[in-house]
Amino acid sequence: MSAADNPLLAQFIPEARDLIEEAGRSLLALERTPGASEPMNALFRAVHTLKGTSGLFEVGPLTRTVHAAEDLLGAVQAGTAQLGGEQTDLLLGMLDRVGQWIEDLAERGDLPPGAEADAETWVTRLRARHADGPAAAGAAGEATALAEPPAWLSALLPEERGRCAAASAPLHAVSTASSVARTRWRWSDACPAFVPCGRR
Amino acid sequence: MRALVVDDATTIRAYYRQVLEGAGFLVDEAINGVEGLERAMVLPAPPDLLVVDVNMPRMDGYAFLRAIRIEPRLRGVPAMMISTEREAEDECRAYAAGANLFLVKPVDPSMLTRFALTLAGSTAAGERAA
Repeated sequence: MSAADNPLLAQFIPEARDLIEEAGRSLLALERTPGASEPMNALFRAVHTLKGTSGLFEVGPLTRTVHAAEDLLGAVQAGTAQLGGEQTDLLLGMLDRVGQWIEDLAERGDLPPGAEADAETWVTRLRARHADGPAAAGAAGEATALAEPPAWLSALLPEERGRCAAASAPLHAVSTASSVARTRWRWSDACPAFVPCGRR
Repeated sequence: MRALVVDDATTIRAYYRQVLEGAGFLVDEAINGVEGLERAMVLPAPPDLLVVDVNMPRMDGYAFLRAIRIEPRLRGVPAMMISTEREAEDECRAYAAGANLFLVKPVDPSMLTRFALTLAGSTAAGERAA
């Protein structure tokens, strides 16, 4: 069975190739012009789109690897990680690996045996390159994040904050149709500082 | 019923089209917020549903929804924002921008169908009541 047997997968293959190529091009541009915003945005978007789209298919190792790369790029954008030569080489290597997986998908419609273990290695290497990796994530970090309203929340316009709080009404109407929606309705749990904006 | 899908990923748009057409929608597509606004404005009637990605070039999903919510012709159109991120921040920002529903990719076809019909149906019911 190959990608030709699945029209959606057949559509994904060329898109993934383009995204990998764009990501590689952007990485090389950043090597020439460190910190340039345009290639950085293009790189992040390409990796982000690849991650999001791969989620449509049973390619967990690929999705997890690209997700780890996206997290590293997010840390670079947030200023908590550097995009030096070592990270660039690692990301280029990741793109090669993912590109090969895409060719495997094109030929066989599936990832090769060993992809799981391979992905774990890549995820570990990518997460080790930034402070937001598993070693840095923990209960203490979460408590700090919830202790004060996050910066993005303060940046919202008052009417936007009100609209967010008021969103409970339409969502509850929909949630009667599915428990899935109810499980997603938890912003007030995760973000207690947000509650007062509509319920003071 | 008509749905406008705004997403920069070709395969994701194809997936939404497949599911929404199966649910009886006519589907229009746009690859970013700017094109989405242009498309929504030239349709003969406002769409019954917007399906919107977050991270897109030129104009992202938040900006697109904010623009929709101040445009008299389009402000009442129900919108589901579908993100790859599942953090509370992403969810709050979606609602703040004007989304009626926030979902995380990948969205199961049956769930997408059910929510699309529910949201589009709520518009139709509102029009009948008005």
